[in-house]
Amino acid sequence: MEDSDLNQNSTADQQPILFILRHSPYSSSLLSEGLDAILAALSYDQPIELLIADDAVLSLLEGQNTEHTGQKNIAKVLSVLPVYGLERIWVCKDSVEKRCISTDDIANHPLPLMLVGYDAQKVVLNEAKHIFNF
Amino acid sequence: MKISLLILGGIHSSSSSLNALRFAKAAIAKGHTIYRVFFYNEGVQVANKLICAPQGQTDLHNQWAKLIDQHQIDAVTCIASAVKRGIINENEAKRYGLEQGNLSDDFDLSGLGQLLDASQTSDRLVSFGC
Repeated sequence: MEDSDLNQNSTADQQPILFILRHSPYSSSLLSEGLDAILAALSYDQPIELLIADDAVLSLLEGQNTEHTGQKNIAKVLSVLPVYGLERIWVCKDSVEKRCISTDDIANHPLPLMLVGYDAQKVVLNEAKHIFNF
Repeated sequence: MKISLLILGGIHSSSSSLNALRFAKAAIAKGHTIYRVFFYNEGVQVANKLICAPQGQTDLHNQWAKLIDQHQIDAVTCIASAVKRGIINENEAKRYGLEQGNLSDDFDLSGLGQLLDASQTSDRLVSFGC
């Protein structure tokens, strides 16, 4: 199948694909390659939802500097997602609190973050056509 | 049912490739169709035809190649994930000025669009390794 067919098949009322990022930003390439998959989905105009949970919430911390580590700055990649049409990012409240990240920081974050408990996460999971876990 | 698999785990660092292989065999035996297997992240390792499995251990590369060949499964190795891990076909090897490729003929090298298409086309998408 050609990539152009993908665009023709996508419609606004499609069930979304849910991406869940769970791994820490710099200990493996999972989060980075997960973001690549999200960017690909957005560029094909696929309806998607994103949930950030577990150690992946560390990627929401401000002031990440990878200048001396030779790694891709995950915060910078995250910051472009709204430009590609991602409207909101669900963030697991429990994961944030367990890591002593201030919920005010999440509320004041430049990204459209929605802090949610497990009940709301269940709804997001149930509404997804497929789930990709990274 | 039309099923696609996403494999993220390496062959020694995780059991995901082995689990996925067993799942694929069981699904086919039950009459399901494997629409596509997409190898991503460390999952691409298994497409390397130079792998020499230790005696007494499952030869994952050969087992996958055999299953793919037997059932004409569309097996796609993500090009971005693969090339940076040194999994490369002859064409790409030439493009990068490398002496040789090591991607087995049973595996294709393609982009993330194939994963999204698999998700759109399949009834179920099952992830292994994460």
